Parts: sequence; structure tokens; C-alpha cells
Amino acid sequence: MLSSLFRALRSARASSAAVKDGPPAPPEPPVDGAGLETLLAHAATRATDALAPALEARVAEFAAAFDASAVPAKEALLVYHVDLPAGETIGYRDIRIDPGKIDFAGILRHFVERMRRFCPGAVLYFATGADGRYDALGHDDVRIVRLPADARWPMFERALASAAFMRSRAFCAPTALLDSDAFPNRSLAELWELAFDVALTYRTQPGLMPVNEGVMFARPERPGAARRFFERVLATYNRLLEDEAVRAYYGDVRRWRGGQLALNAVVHGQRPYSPYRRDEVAGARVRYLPCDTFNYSFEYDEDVRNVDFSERTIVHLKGARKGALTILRAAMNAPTEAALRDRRFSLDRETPTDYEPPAPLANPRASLTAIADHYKTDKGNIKNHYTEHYARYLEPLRGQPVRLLEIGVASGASLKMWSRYLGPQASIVGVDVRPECAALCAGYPSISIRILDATQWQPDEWFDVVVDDGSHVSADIVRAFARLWPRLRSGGYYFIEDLGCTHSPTYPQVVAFKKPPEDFAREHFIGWLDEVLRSLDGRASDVELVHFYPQLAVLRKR
Amino acid sequence: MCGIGGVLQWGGAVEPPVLEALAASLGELQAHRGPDGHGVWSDGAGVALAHRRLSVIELSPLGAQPMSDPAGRFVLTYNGEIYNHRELRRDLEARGQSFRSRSDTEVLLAGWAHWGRAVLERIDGMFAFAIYDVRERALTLVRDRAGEKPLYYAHDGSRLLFSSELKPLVRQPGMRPALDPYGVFQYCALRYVPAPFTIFRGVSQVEPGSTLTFARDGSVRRSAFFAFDRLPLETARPEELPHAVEDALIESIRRRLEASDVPVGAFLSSGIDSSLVCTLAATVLERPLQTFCAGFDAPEHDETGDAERIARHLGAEHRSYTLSTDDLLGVVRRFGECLDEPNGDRSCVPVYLLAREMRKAVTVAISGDGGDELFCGYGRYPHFSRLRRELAPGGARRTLEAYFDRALAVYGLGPAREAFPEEYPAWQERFLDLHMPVFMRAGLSDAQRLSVLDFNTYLPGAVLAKVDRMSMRHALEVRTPFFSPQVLALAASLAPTQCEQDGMLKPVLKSILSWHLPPELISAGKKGFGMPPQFFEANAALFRDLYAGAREVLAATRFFTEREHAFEILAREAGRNTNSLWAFTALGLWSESLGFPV
Repeated sequence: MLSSLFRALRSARASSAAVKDGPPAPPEPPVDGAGLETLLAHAATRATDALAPALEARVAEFAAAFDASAVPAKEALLVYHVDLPAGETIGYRDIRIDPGKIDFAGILRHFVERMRRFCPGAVLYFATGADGRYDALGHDDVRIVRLPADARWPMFERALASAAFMRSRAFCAPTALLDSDAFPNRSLAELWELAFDVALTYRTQPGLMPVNEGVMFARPERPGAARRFFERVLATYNRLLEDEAVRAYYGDVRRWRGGQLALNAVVHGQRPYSPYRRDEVAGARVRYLPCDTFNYSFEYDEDVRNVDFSERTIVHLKGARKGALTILRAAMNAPTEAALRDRRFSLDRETPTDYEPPAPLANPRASLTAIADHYKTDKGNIKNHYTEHYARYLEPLRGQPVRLLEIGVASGASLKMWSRYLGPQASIVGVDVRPECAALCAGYPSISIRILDATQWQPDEWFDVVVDDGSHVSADIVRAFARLWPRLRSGGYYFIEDLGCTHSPTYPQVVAFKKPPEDFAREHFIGWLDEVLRSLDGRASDVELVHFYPQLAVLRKR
Repeated sequence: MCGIGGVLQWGGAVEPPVLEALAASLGELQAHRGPDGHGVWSDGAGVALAHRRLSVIELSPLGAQPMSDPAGRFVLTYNGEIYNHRELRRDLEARGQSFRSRSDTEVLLAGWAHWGRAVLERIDGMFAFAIYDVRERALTLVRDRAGEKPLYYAHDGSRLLFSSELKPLVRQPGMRPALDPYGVFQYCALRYVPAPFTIFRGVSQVEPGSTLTFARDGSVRRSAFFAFDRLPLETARPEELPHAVEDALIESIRRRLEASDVPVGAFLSSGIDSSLVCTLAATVLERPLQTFCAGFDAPEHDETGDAERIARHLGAEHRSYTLSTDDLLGVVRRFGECLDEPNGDRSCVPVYLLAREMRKAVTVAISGDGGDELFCGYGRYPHFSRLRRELAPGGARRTLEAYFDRALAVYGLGPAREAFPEEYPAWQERFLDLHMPVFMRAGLSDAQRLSVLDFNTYLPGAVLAKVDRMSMRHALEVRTPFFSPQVLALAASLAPTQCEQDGMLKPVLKSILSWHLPPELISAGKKGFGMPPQFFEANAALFRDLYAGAREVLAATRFFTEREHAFEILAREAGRNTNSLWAFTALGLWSESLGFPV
């Protein structure tokens, strides 16, 4: 399971799944290691404890905000995130990020899920801006701390927030300071058995700053110790802003890079980092823990088939790895190894072949996702992640004598999925224009396959569920709906998949069927949608609801 | 190879002649470490450094120590060998330095003057030294990566004393040596006292791979330049690793054989590590290698026959000794005098005897020490993995405790803890805590985790302390090819299957050996060099007497008079197994040898 997860993560990076609507950010380019090393050594000479009065006032202001949110807890997590102003990006010689392409809300929801699973009883202090954008995350165990932070300079403001947290009442429990995409992956209890005031994570790859600021730990038994440490980091950061060597190497480091640079400067004298070091920095006992366990970020090209994922304390989706979130999340719900090995889905240019899983699925009440992966359709974890949405509507129909129609048979894998999911009482009808599809699913008595064009079809039977996974051509979707919606029973569902094809500029070139160019126009779909929504408002139509998910629409008949 | 010592005094009434006498006394008490010369340097204002010399490189007085650099800023007293001193010298000459002698001491001094602490990362060697910065009035103590050379110190805020050996240190005026309950507890739990602690209160050891700087403002700064850990090496391809290890070992052996102006020999048992070191040494050396082996008068524990066959195959000039019961008992009776700090390792006595014989033929010998820790050779690793499956599951701390209690036990943690209940929480926080992260690490096998633990604890504390003290009693210098920086880095990068493969230990070293030796000469199992249990059984009456004597001596100490409960437990439990019996006896013999009450 784990190996397949990582293979999927790698492919996520390779495919456009890595970031919303576009190719993934390239891996961080190689950096001149000697130059970085020189910079770190220089920055180390600039370390200071002196907080400028203006900065001191801001720390106090931030600390008051933490005080107001403080609750007793046995364990705390601190995450800082403020969206960059719209349209702005992060660009330095060794990193490029376009935050507009990252689903931060999804990342944060996933973070909270993971925290609740692996750190039950913990409290998350979510430090964010004053705009209230993420207020909806708030909960008993998620304290939204609105800070008067400058959205343009996330890393500087985070260093400020970390220092402020350490002097606030909120710092009363062992605390993990985490990037929002550094997820707990196992309990932190054993980590808290170690003696330290501050624990940092380090790595040995050349060209990277050795100590990473995305995962840090602090213990409150001697609160002054952690406070002094984080104040030194902040004061050093502030001083480095004006440093000529830093400006020459990175430019303005208020946005990014400066926090990590300051952190490395402060502990530079402790190299080589090792778990066996227990020296004091700014009066704090600092431990160094290897990233491979405590701040695990897989390599883009890493062959991780032998990695035991369960031993990683924190899994960190650095950089473009963030796009792998959906896959990572799905992995928490057990994707199957076999399903990912050779997926079976719409291979319209090839002769479809039947696929039979080597062994039946053991669990009679297996989830739709598990069944999808078992038969290797692309509706589950393998690609599209539709099944969790389907199940939301169709779960009550399991075991019922319902009739389901699916447009687009391909290899027949999804028909088998529906049959296994809904049960032997259900009738599954597949329609496809390709004659060779007729021979598929021979061993499944409840599945029937007809060779016809759904946009020209006038069925005389009724259906409880219709799934349009046909040509995905804008005009075809509308034509099929016009013919099939009338044959849907009251209370039935009509699903339309792969809606991105209606606005993808490349889809007309890749589609296997010959279609007039005007059929691809988005206007067909939008015009139809407009009609549906107008009638919905007027309560005159038989459409009860329209739900949209990424790439998927659902309509229920009144 | 030598002994060093010195004193640094801050403030107060400094009487230079007193300090010089003190330093000289520290040197004098270590005369066995360096019979070829001695020296004392003093600034006449609070610092005196001493040196006892065993001449190995640059036999002339040009290599004498303590040594000052030409600018007069640094003064060095140094015990050790720098095997790559010729390369370092070339680097320094290219940077405009010139040299008076061929000695590695002068290279170290010039390197420190030029690169500062960073010179340590460039050194392939074993060393413990003190370097005094005249300008800054700061003294730095340094110890090598693995902890081959010892360095003890006592620092009371106004005066610092340091010495290669512990006994000379505590014998100085002003020292009021008292046993430390934390030290005694650790000795009972581990058979040695791990750095930075010692058996004496107020006396510490410099930790391997680290430096300690005592500044004139009275501050002390500890800093590490090395720690062994298992880390993947980005560039290494697994299938190439055995070849890379072979190359690195050959280079390491070549340096260790060449950096000497006196005869060099080699320890050879039938075990993998010494066989490999001798085999590769024989390929490097243009003359026959001199090899030495000692065995017991007990066939199942005797490795001499196998060693002779290997030596014959290598064309070595081999000498074999059978350690007679009389030999062993002779040393056992006065074992306390051989010990510097208590060491319950059962192979101390045999090593002492073998080193004595070897010194008659050679001044320097290479050994296979460290191979088990670096390449995962101890049988207790797979044994412990099996044992662990039977124990209740637990985290890192429980695993560590089980290891010291069951797999590497002396008294076992139960009795040790019962005897010293107040020391246990401190041990958890100071000792176990330090080793927990490696047991939380992802992607490592049990054997890899345990070997990191052993490298950082058992190796310097028991093995290397034994090798140094037992050989230096006879002024024999032992060099260990497994500790070159290149071999250390490659060993750190081993994958789990390269540490243990289908139950086979040390697969990498075995495959290298298989390229050089016929299969029948490659050892199947380890016999070890500890005095075998049969030896204890056959001489039960004598060991009972020794135990009774130890019991009497220890019962009379101030330490145990104040801790009758602890004494009763230790005395009672000493009868449970050979390890605790020998540890208790050794502690008694050592205590008796001190010549002052503790």
C-alpha cells in the first residue's frame, strides 16, 4: 500500500495533478553549495539577541492575541498561515512558488484531520491574518488567532508569531511548530519523552540549508529558554534584512528564506548536527533530530518502495509536493496496491480487454472507492476521486433492485464496480458506440451492454441512476441529457463526469471520436446549465438539486 | 604514543614552581605510556603542560613536546598519531608554512594555527591533546572521533587539571577523590563508566569527537566535531559499497603502516575483522607482516590454530601464544594495578598479556577493533531482535532498557537500580535520553540502531579503554584502520541488508574477505577473546578467594560504608553470572590498587 502511495505521489508530481490548473512547479534548482555555505557562515556572525523597540512592541501585540486564545492542553500545535496578497508569488534563486495554485484551505482541513487522528487532545493554534478568511476552521481544538500581520512578508511575520507564542499563556504544553503542510503522521508522545527546550530537524543534502524551519518543537518546562531561543532567531532575522551579503544572495528575505537563514545562523556553531548533541543556544537546550523521521519529505525521484511510511513522525509536503495532497489524503483511507499497478480506464484508442481481479474482494460491504480500485477503474484513488462523492448519494441504494445506466463502457471496469457495489438485484446497463465493447463483462449476469449512440437514443425503459462518462464533448452532454433525463425515475440521480473537458483547450485534439469542432464549445454546456438553474429557481422544473464537485455534477430528479 | 597532563589556574595565588611540579608529577605517573622522553612547559603565570613521550615518528628531539609554534601563540601537548600528516604538511606548505621536523606534532600545531578547530575534520588519526592559546589565555582539550585516546579532567572553577589517565589525576595534591554514586551505578549497569562521567566525583572525561575550551573568563564551551550515525550517502550505489569499503580500508591500513619509524605488527585472531585487516595489510606491505595471536588452553575458545592457517596463507611472520592458566592468574591477581578506571570487560587480561608479548617484537600494532560496531558484527544484535519480539511492545526507552538489561547485561538493570534507586532517573535523563532518537528513526534495522548505540557507548567505554590501557601498560601503540574518516562515512551509509543479510552478520566485510581468502579460512563464528566461563569454573576456588577479597576491600570503603544496602545487593548478585562476578572483583581489585581510601 505504501509503495503505491509513493509511486502515486511521484506521478502526481509528474502530472498536472500536482497543482491546480497547471504544471507542477519545477523541483528546486541546484544551488551553488559553496555560496550557500559561505552565506550561512556569514549570517552566523550576525546573530544577535537585541530586539529593536518597534519589533519588541509588535511581539507584545502578537503575544496578547495568543493570550486571548489560550486554552489548557496537554499538547499544542502552532501553524502560521496568511495568504499572500492576490497575484503575488514567491521567487528566489532556489525556490519558486505560486500560492494561487495551492489549495491552502484543503491543506489546512487535512492538517486538522491528521491532528485529530494522531494527536487526540491536542490544540491547534492557527495563527493567521485579521481578514477572517479561515475562521470557518475554528473549533474547540482549533483556536484561530487573528494577528495584525503583514500579508506580504509571511516568513518574517511567522518568526514574529513564534517568538510571541513563546511568551504567551498559550505556551503551556509541549508544542510542535509546523508548516501547514507538515502533517502529524504518528503520535508525538515519544518525542515528548526527550529532554530539550527546543528540538530542530536537520538534513544533510547538499545545497539545502541544513536546519529546516518547517518543523520545530518546544517544551514549556523552562519557558524562558524557548522564548530566548525564538527571540534570538527573530532578532537575527531582523538584522539580516539589512545585511548586504544576504541581499546580494537572496534579495529581500522578508517574504521567504529569511526565517530559515536566521535559524541556521543561530545554531551554526552546533554543526555537525546530530541527535547526540545537547548543547545550549541562547540558554535553551537544543536537540537536533534527523529529517528522515521527524520532518519527512520524500524526494521527487526517490524510490521509496521500501520506506515504511508508518515510522515517519511528520510528513512534510514541501514545495510542489503540496499537489500530492489529495492522494495523500486518499491514502489515509487505504488505497489498494493492485488497483494502482495497472489502471483500467478509458483507453478509447485501444481494443478494450476484460480485467478480472485475481481474487474477489473480501469485505461484502467494501466502500465504493475500494471496489473501484479493485476493478481498476479511474473513478477512485487511481485518478479521479469521484467515488467518495458517488457514495454520498448512492449508499442507500445498495442491495436495492435499482437500474443504473452508464454512458461509456471502455473496458467495462466501472460496470463491474457498480454491479459489485449495488448488489445482484441491481441491473447495470452500459452503452457505447464501439462494437468491440459488446463482448465485455460476459460473466456478469446483471450487466448488459448495448452498442448505440446515447445522443441519438430513445430508450423506453426507466433508470434510477444515469452516469454520463461518454465523450465529454460539450454538445454531447447536453444531447444525452435531453434524451435520458426524461427516463430517470423520481428521486433518481444523473451524474456527469469530467466537466473539465468542456473548457480544456487541448481536449478536441486528444478525443478519440471525430466530432464537429463547434460541438466542443463550452457554450452548449453553459447554456444548458443556465436553463437548468433558471428552472430550479422557478420551482417549475423536475430538477430537485444540482451539486458540483471538481469535474463532476450531480442532479436529482424531483 | 604518549601520556599528557597539565594544569591551568585562574586567579588566586599562582606559584609557578608548584604548577610545574604538579604537571611534572602528572607526567611522571604516566611514565609507562611514554618511556622515551618527557617535558614540561610553563608560562610562569598559571599554565603548565607536561608530556611523556613514546617515540614513533621523528625519533629525534625535534619531536619533543610540549611544542610551541614558531609564532609562539600555541603550545601543544599531544598523545596520538596523525596518519595523514604528510598530506596535511603538503597542504600547509602550499600555504606558506615551513617545518623544522618530520613530526606529526608539528603538523597538528601548524594546522591548528592555520585552520583552527576545522583542522580536526581534516585529520585521519587517533588523538587526545591539549592546546594552549597564549594570546587568548584559553586551553582547549580535544579527543578523537571514536574515543581511542583517553583524556580526563577535573575543573573546580579556579583550577583545571587534565591527564591521559585517571589515577595520576586523582593522586595530585588538592584532589579529594571520592567515588561517585552515579559513576558506580553506571559501572554496575554497563561494566564501564561512559564519558563525560567517571567513577570519581568531580572528575570528567572529554567525550569522543568533541572539544572543550576553557576561556580566561572562566567559561567552558563544549563543541562536537563528530558523531557516528547511520545516514544514507547520496552518491553511494549499494552494489559498489563493498568495493568502496575495501578501497578505504586499504588506504587506511597503508597510512597506519607507513606513519611509523619503528616496527609495526598486527593482531590476528580467526575473527573477520582482524583477518581482514591482516589480509589487506599483507597486500599493502612489501615485506612480510608480523602477526600475533594468543589463545586459551581450551579448544572451543582457542583461535590460534585458525589464525596460524590464515597467517600461513598470507605469508606472515606469525607468533602464537597459548595463555596458560598461570599467566592469566598472575595478571588477574594484580589486575587492579593494570586498570586505570574500572573496566569489567573480560578480555582485558588476555589483551594485557598479548600486548606484553608483542611489545618484545614491535612498538606499533594494527587491530580490527571497531569492525563489529561499524559493520554490525555482534551476535547479540539478532539475538536481541528475537528477544524483543517476545517482550511487550514498547517505545525507544523500553527497547534501550531491555538491551542493557538482557542483551548486554552486567548486573542487569534490576539489581543495579535496586542498589542505586536515586541514580536511575538521572540515568534515564542523561544517558538513555541521548540514545533514544536513533531508536525512533525510520528505516533502520534493530542491528543498525544497536550498533550506533554501541559505537557511541560500549566501544569507547569498554573496548577502546581496554585496548589503550592494556597496551599502554607496555608502551605498545595500537592503531585501528576501521576509524579512518572514509571508512566511518561508508559504514554510516550501509543499508539494513548490508548490516545483516538473512541472519548473516557483517555481510560487507565477509564479501571483501571472500575476494582474498579461501572459504575454509573465513570464520563462521566468533569465539571472542574474553576469559572463557570455563576458565572461571576451572579456577573457581581462586575466583572465590578474589571475590572474598574484593568484598572485604569494598565493604571497608567509605563509599559502601555509607551505602550498606547497595553493597549487600551488589555482593549478593555478583554470584549470579560471570559478568557480574568479574565486574565486582575488578572493582575491588581496582579500589585496593588506589592506595588511598575512597
